[in-house]
Amino acid sequence: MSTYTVRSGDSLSRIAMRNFGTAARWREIADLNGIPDPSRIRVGQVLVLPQEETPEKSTRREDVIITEEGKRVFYRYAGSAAKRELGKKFKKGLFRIGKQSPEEFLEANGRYLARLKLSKSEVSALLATSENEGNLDAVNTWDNSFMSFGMFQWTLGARGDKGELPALMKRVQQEFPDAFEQYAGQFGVRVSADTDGRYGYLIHNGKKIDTAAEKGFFRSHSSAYRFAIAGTDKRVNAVQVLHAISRFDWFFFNTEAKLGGYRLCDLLTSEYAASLLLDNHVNRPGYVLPCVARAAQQTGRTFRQLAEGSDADESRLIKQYLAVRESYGRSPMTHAAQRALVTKKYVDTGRISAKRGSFKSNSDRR
Amino acid sequence: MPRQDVGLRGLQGFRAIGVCAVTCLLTIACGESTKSTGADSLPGGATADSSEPRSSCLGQPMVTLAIGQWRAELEAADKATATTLNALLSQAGMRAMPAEAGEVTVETIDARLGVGDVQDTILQVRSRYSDGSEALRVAVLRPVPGQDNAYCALGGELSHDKGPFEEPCLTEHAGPARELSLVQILAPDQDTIMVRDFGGWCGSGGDRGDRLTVEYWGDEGDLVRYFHAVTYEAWFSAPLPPAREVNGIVEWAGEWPKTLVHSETVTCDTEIAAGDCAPGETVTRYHYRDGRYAP
Repeated sequence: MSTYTVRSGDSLSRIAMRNFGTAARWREIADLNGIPDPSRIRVGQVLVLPQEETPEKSTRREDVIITEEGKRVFYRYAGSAAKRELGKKFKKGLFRIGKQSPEEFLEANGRYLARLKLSKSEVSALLATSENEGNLDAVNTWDNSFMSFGMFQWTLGARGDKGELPALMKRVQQEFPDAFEQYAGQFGVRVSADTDGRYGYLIHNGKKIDTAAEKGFFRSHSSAYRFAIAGTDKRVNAVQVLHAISRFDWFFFNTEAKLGGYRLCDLLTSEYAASLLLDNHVNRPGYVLPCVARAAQQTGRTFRQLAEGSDADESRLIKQYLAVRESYGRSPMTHAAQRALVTKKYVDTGRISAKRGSFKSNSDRR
Repeated sequence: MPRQDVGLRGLQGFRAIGVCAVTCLLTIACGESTKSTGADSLPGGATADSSEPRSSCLGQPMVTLAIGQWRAELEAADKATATTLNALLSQAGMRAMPAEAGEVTVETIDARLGVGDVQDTILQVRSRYSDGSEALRVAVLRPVPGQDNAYCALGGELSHDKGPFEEPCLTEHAGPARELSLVQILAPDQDTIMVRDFGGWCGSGGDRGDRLTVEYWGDEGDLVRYFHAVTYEAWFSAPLPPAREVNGIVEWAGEWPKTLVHSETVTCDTEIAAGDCAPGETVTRYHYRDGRYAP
């Protein structure tokens, strides 16, 4: 039986939207849990969710039958009448919110995580960030990124652009070649050799895909189905977690001229700060460094003072940083303040620490 | 549906874009008193010139520029260092590019922004970078009467930087992040600069969206922004579609100077917005008075 723990800001319709892709199913949840007044749910309350039949997974082309009914897209397997919703049609593709939450995956899959050598701090920071992000099996094929997948909605990239998704898939191929073959390789999809740890291209039927027409293949419902199913595979999801945490390697440990030759990890050293920076970096990667640099300037302290500072100094820098990031750049983070509150909740409930030096990375062990 | 245009009537007002190709030597001056640079080695073919342009630019910077040669050197500077490129930009009164080694293109537009027959020149320098970022530098130059290659640089910052991923994620747009063109809204023989921005966020992270705007800039002794409106805006957390979309249309009506009619429609996806969005339609008419457009 599937359950859901109510979070701050939740409503039954939002819970229904998050879990079933439609707010209309809030009444089923209310009925199942004996809730007469849908406005009266409390944070921490555990709700039982309506059961859905889960057919056996398959990615074999001939096994999967995809159908559309109005705005909804379903899949079922040959020989079975049981159908499941893949997603909802929107613009040029579909969207699937997914059901595999990173929190549940992280809590239930210690075996896979141990293999990835993640520190407790890294997992905690990811949890604090992931609540602002999507589910592991979330898929979007309707916007200009053609295909977005997973908890951080890694994309194929707009036409003519590199994307983050090939880098994720490259890591799947490295860690679990059989999983890569199952979800991509057998369909003629490879990762281009020039894909690095962050960005790259895919190859489809021997051709590097770059143009809108070439990338359009990934908007098909069949492609969406394969990613959706991959997002329920523990091997793929373990790599999603690893890849998400590897973002720290992009920005956290580098010496920066904008920071007077210091590293972000010298100035901001707590699990709280690391979580906030990761949340920012996932959505506005280029803004993190200038936001911190500007915030540091506003504290009136030198970079050296901040690097050698106290908990109070770090707290002051975080406060300035949060104010700066709300409006920084041509396209500031949306809901930046609300996102920060979600992260702060993890401090308030003792799941991450705001104490200086509390963030411990295992980056050098991987 | 998202709209990228500002309305058919706006499009009908476009004027053909001409290409200026003046070629001559140049000197640099700033303000009303010209200082000789004494820099024979200046990039852009700049040479020291002891002559002092006398004509007043009314506090605006004066630029002495052989546009054709300057343009040729800029195009050749494509793979040059940032120092060379930025020195050339500085000669036209433009600020430096944010990075070097971009792919540089130069465009000039002939315009009549003032009242009368004076032909102004709009210089645009674009640089595109491999990470998807772009920079646009713009100078609007008015010739100083009787002085070859001397121009007053009309103030008003039309330059623009676009970072990686700062692009629309919902609407289709293949062109640059900022596009300039000429329209006639004040008088049939007077140009106004229409600036259209195609911004947003796409390609990294789930927090995405579009923000498309239109602005009109004109000559009121200096270059001023008459009007600004959002033509499309929507933000969303992928994979979910946007909860709220704003569509704006700007149309022109009446006699010269035209009245600007801004119609804005807010639509809400009720399944996603969950009460956080108020749909509606507004129409606001802007009239030109005392050198500005106001409701």
